[in-house]
Amino acid sequence: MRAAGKTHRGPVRQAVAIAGFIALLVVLWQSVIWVFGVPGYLLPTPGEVGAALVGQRDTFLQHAAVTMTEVVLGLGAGALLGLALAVVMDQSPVLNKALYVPILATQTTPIVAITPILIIWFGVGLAPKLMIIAIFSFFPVLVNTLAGLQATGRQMLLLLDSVAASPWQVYRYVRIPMALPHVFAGLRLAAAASVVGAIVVEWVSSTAGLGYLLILYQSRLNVSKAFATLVVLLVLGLLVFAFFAWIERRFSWQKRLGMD
Amino acid sequence: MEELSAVAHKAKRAAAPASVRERALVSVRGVGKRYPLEDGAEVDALAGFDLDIADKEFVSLIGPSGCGKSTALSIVAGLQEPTHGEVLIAGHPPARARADREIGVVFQQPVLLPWRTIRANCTLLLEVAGRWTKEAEERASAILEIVGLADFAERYPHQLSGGMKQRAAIARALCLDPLLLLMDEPFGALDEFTRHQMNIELMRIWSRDRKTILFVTHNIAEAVFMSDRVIAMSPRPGRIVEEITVPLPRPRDPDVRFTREFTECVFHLQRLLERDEGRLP
Repeated sequence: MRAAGKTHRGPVRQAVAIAGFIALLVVLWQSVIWVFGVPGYLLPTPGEVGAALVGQRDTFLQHAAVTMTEVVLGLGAGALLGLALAVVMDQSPVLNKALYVPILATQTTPIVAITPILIIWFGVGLAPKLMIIAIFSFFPVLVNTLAGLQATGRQMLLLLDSVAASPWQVYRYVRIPMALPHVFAGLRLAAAASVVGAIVVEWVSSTAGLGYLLILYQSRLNVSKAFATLVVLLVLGLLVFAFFAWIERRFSWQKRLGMD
Repeated sequence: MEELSAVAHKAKRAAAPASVRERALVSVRGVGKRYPLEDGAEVDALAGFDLDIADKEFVSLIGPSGCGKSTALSIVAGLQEPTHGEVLIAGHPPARARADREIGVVFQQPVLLPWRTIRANCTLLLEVAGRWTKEAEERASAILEIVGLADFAERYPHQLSGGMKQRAAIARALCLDPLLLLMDEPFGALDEFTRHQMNIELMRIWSRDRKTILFVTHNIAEAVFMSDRVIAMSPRPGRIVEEITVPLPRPRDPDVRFTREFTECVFHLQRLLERDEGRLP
């Protein structure tokens, strides 16, 4: 209420700040090339990268669509897995203990190392890719949702117990809304992780996608196109992130009340 | 069905016989609570606890930390099972009273949901109980009026002071229209001035919407100012050491605290509890 005016101005101001920062980076980048005379095969000029982006836009769009599809599906699967595991582990202390180490193992194992095995098992199609992305993205959702579900205080639970509330009512009225800010934080982390996951899996085995393109251009020593790919990748990551930021603004009571 | 049982309760209240024991709304018999310790030993948080509370009576439990007063309250509420003994509320076990939503509880923390307005917080338990009706909504408005939060009904908890939040917690309990109100150090987290104001507020609310109240506190003056009876408790094992009937007339003016009767009552309890402290090993 108090912050209503501010929240309206906020995105505009933020956009200006971001644009300014990018402009500053571009100027700095160009200056470095001029001042130190960096050769074009090491660092392309912003102009060359821009030209590559415009010239190859169909290629970039086509490969970005492939990566985006993988990210959306993989992240969706990972988020669902994370939420489901969080509810199960919250419900059952036994399963919580039993699953803890295996789940941790999925995060400490270098994913790059198991990707070839998954490809041997499931082929070069979409399935192993989604699995890898899901492994990257379920963990932050799981950890944060679990913490969120357990954020409801003991007195609140006793209060609900005093009117004989059912476990479902406890979830519906209190524990799920209480967990939401945590869930959103987890989803944002997962969004970033899923893009990393998609690139990793495309590096290991793929014939399409921005990760594939990156490897391709690097092997051809085409630095300006490799940089252009990075820019596309950056925009893609920001889009995914912005999507979750939008969801959060839409559904989080904490954002709505300006409490974060 | 619900209306019928409410009518039955009202009838029971009206037909209360003279003796306290018979017209007791709450009857606690020989209740004990034993906790296992980590080293395998056991500790009696509460032992041989007997208490009758008459309909519309205001009873306080006081004593130092560990005397079992909060344990006693949560056993009466049915939030904990006693190791021994029995609790009856209007002739039924606490589980039945909880299922009938006849128990309202207020804790030391207001535990309001930050995403709900004050009004929506007050009606939370009604929604859970499936009693969210037009009448309930009107009752909620009336109670918000009584506790002085009518102008803040559409605000959110983080916009209210500590005292106001605690009033909202009391309003939430009253919205259920329970037979019994259980308050576990409800003003314990407030500063001394706010606490005193809340004591006066609670007395005012109670005079308008009279409930049977079991009130837990470690503040002697607060207990004497508000209660019909004060039960003094002592730790190891948690038990009743004395029970006094407060001789002050009602309604009680805040200035009653400066009368001789009040001071004597407070001194008596103070000495009793201090002497008891000295008995510790």
